[in-house]
Amino acid sequence: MRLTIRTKIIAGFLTMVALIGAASWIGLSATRDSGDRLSLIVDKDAPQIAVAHEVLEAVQEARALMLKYVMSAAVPDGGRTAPEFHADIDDIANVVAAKLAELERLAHSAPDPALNGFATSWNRFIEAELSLRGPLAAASGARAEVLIAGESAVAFSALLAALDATKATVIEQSMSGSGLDDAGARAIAALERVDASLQSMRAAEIAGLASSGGSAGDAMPPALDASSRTIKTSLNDAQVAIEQALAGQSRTAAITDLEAVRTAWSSYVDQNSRLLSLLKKADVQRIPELLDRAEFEFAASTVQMQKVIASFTGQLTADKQASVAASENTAVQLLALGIAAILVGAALALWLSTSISKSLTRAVGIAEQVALGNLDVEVIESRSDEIGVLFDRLRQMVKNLRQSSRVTRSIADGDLSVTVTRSSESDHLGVSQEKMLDQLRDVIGKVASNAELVADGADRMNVTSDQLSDGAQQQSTAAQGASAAIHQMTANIRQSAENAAQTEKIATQSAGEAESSGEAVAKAVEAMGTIAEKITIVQEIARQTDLLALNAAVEAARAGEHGKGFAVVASEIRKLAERSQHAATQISELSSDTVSISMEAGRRLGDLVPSIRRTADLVQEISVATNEQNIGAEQINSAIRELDQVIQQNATAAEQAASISDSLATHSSELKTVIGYFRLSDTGEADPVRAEHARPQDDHEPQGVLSATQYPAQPKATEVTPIVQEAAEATQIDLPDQSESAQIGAVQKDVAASVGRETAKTTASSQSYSVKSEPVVAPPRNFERPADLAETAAFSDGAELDLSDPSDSASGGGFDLELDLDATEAVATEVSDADYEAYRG
Amino acid sequence: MLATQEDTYESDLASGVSLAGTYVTLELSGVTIGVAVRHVREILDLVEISPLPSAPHNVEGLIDIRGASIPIVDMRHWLGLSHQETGADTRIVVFEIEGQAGRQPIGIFADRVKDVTTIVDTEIEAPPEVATGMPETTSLVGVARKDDSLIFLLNVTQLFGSADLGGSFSL
Repeated sequence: MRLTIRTKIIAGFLTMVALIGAASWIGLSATRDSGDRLSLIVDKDAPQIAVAHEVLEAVQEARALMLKYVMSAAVPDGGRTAPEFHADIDDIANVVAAKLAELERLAHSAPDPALNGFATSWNRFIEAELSLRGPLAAASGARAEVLIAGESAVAFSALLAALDATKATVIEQSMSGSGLDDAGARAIAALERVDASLQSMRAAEIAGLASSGGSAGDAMPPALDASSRTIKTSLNDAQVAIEQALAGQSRTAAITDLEAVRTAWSSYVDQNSRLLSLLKKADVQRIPELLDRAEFEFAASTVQMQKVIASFTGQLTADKQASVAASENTAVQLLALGIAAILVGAALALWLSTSISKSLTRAVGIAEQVALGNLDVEVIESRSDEIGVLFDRLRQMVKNLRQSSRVTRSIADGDLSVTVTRSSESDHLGVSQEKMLDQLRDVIGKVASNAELVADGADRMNVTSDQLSDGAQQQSTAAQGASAAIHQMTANIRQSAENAAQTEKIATQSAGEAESSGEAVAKAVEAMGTIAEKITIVQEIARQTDLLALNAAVEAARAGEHGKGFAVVASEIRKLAERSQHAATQISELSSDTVSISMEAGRRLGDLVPSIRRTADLVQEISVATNEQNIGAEQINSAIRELDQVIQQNATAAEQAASISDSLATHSSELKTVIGYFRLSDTGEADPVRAEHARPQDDHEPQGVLSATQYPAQPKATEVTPIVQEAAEATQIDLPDQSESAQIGAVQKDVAASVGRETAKTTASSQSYSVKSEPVVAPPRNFERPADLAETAAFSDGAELDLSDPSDSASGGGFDLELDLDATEAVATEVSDADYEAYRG
Repeated sequence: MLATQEDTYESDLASGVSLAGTYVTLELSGVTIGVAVRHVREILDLVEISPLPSAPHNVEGLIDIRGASIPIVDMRHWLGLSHQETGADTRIVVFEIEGQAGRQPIGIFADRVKDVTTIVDTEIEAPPEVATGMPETTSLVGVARKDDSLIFLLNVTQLFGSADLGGSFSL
C-alpha cells in the first residue's frame, strides 16, 4: 500500500488530538466533582455546624433564663416577672424546634442518633421546666421572702463586709515592698474561696426558697452543707495562713477581722437554719427535685448537642479529605496523559521530518545543480510517495533542459537550421527558442540585405552630398545677391520715409496758412459789408443833395431872371450829386461783387483746409507705412543673412555627410562579413531574398515626417541590437560584431540627427521668413535644387536605408522647405525688382 | 414878373401863343411830363401817407408837410396810365393849383423827377387833334421835343381844376 506523507501527517495529528481530548475530558470531570463537593461543604456541612452551635447557645440561654426566674422567685430581680421569663423560654423553645427542622432538612445522610437523643433530652428539659413553673409560683411564701430579704440578707451582707474588711487588712498587712508574701497570698486565696462558696450557698438558699412549693426542702440541706463545709475549711485555711504570716510580725488586726468573719458566718448559718426549717415546712419539697431534673436534662441535651456537632465536624473533615484525594488523582492522570502526548508528538515529528527532509535535501541539491547550469546530474529515487513524484518530474525537467541546451548550442555554432520541439504549449523556453530562431533568421536575413542596401545607399548619399554642397553654394550666392538688393531697397525706403515726413510737415503748414487765409477773407467780407453800409449813406446824401438841388432849381426858375445864377449853381450841384450817386452806385456794385467773390474765395479756402489736412494725414500714413516697410526690409535682410548662415552650415553638413557616408560604406561591408557567420538554411548563406520579402512590413514605418527628435531608423537599430545581444547571451558566444552594429546604429543616428537638425533649422528660418513676407504672395519660381532637398530629407529618413527612389521618399518637411525657399526667393526677387523699378521711376 | 409870366402862360394857352418857359420834367409810367415851374411848389422825398376816409378812388390820402396837410392824388390814374410801384427815385411833387379859394397845394407821386429845364418855342409842337376834347386831354397843352425825347407839357391847374373831385374835395 502507498502510504503518502499526507496520510502520515494526518494520522499523527489525529493521535495528538485524541490524547489532548482525553486529557481535557478527565480534567473537566474532575473539576465538576470538585465543584460538587465544595458546594456540599458550603451548602450543607458548614451550615449544619453553625445551626447546631446556635441550638446549643439557645439551650444554654434557656437554662440561664430558668435559673434567673428561679432566683427571682426568692429575690425580686429588676422588676422582671416570672411570666416574662416564661415567654422568653417559650420563644427559645420555638427557635430550637425551627433549628432542629432546619438541621433535618440539611442532613444529607441518615439522621444522626445523637440528634434524636438531644431532641428527647430537650423535650424532657422543657417538660421539667414547665413542671417547675407551677410549684415555684405556689412556693412564693411571704415568710421565706421576708427572711431572705430581711435578716438573712442583713447577715449575708455583714458576712460579706467582714470578709472584705479581712481581705483588706490582710492585703494591707502582708504588703511587703514588692507584693504580697506567700502566707498573705494563701490567706487571700482562702478568703476568695470563702467568698465563692458564700455566693453559691446564697444561690442555693434562694433556689430553695423559690422552690418552696415543691419537695426541694429535703434536697437543699446537703447542698448547703457542702457549701458550709467548704466555707469552714477555707476559713480555717485562711486562719492558718494568716497565723503563719504572723510569725515574724503582728497581724492581730487580720485575726480580729477573721474572728469577725467567723462571727458573721455563725449568725448567717443560724439564719439559714431558720430559713431551711421554714422551707421544709412549706409545700416546696418538689422544687429542688424538678430543678435537679431540669439541670440534668440540660446537661444531657448539651452533651447530645455537642455530640451532634462533633459528628457534623467529622463529616466536614471527611468531605474535605475526599475532595483532596480526588484532585490528587486527577493530577496524576493528567500528568500521565501529557507525557504520553509529548512523547507521541516528538516521535511523529522526528519521523516525518527525517523522512521528508532527507529526500527534499537531495531534490534541492539537484535543483541547485540545474540552476547552476549543470545538467549532468543523476536523478534516482525509488520512493512511491510525493517525493518520488517530485524526483520523476525533476528527471523529466533535466531531460528537457538538455534538449534545449543542445538546440542553443547549435544556434551558438551559427547553425540556424535546427528545429525546436516544444514540450507543451506552455513551454516558454521552447516557444521563446522557436521565436528566437525565427526572429534571428528574420533579423539576420534583414541585416544582411540591409547591409547591402546601406552600402548602396552610402554610395548614393556620397553623390547626393556633393550635389547638396553645390546647391548650398548656389543658395549662398543667391542669398548674398538678395541681401545686397534688400540693402539698396532699404536705403530707398528710408529716403522715401524722409520725403514723406517733409511733405507731411509742409502739408500741415499749408493747412494752417489756408485756415488763416480763410479768416482774412472773412474779415475782408466783413469790411466790405461796412463799406457798403457807408456807401448807402453817401448815396442817401447824394439823393438828398439831388432833391435839394432840384428844389433849388425849381425855386431859382420860379425866381426868374433873379434866380438865374442860383439856377446854374443848383444845376451844378445837381450834376455833382448825380456824379456822387453814380460813383456811389458803382462803389456799391463793386463792393457787392467783391463781397460775393470774397465769400466764394473764403468758401473755397474752407474747402481747401480739409483737403490739405487729408493730404497731410495720407502723407503721414505713407510715412508710417514706409517706416514699417523699412523695418520689414531690415527683417528680410537679417532673415536672408540668417538664411545664408544656415546655407553655409548646410554646406558643411553636406560635406560631413559625404565623409560619414564613406565610413558608412566601410562599416556596412564589415557588417556583411559579420553576418556571414550565420547559416540560415542548409545552403549555408544568409538569405537576402527572405529579407527582401520582409521589406514591405517596414513600409508601415512613418515616412516623410522629419524632425530632429524622431528617427524611424533609430528604433530599427535598437530593435536589432537587443536581439543580437539576446542571441549572443543565449548562445554564450562573445559577439565582437555586436559593438560594430551598435556603432553603425550610432553613426546612422548621428548622420540623421545632424542632417535633420540642419534641415529643421532651414525650415524654421524659412518659415519665419515666409510668415513675415506673407502679404506679398508671388508665384513660386522654379527652384533649382528640389531633388537635392528631397534627398536630404530622404537621408534624414535614412533610417530606412531605402534610397532607391529619393523622390518617392521625399519627406513632407522637405517639401515644405522647398516651397518656403521658393517663396522666399520669389519674394526677395519681387521686392528687389519692384524697388528697383520704383527707384528708377 | 411872376404874375406876368402867369398871365402870359394863361393867355398863351388860350390864345395859342408861345409856351416857351422853364419846366420841371417828371417821369410817370415811362412817360415824361413837363409841368411849368410856377405850378411846382416843391419836390419831396417819400413820406408816410395817411389814407383819407371816404375819399374818391383817385385820391391817395394826406401828407403832413411842415404843419400843413397836403392831399395826394394818383396822377397816373388821372392820366390813364398804368400803375407803377414806388422805387428809389419815386418822389412827391407838390403842385400849386389856381382854384376859386386861391392857390392850393396838391401832391402827386412821380416815378422820377428828371430835370428843371428851359424849353424854347422851336421845341414845342401843338398837341395832336385826336387827343383834345376831353378834360384829361385838354390839360395837355403841348408836346416838346428835347434831346430826342418827348415831353408832354401839362397844365395842372386845368387838369385838377376841371376835375370833378366830388365836391368834397375843397381844400
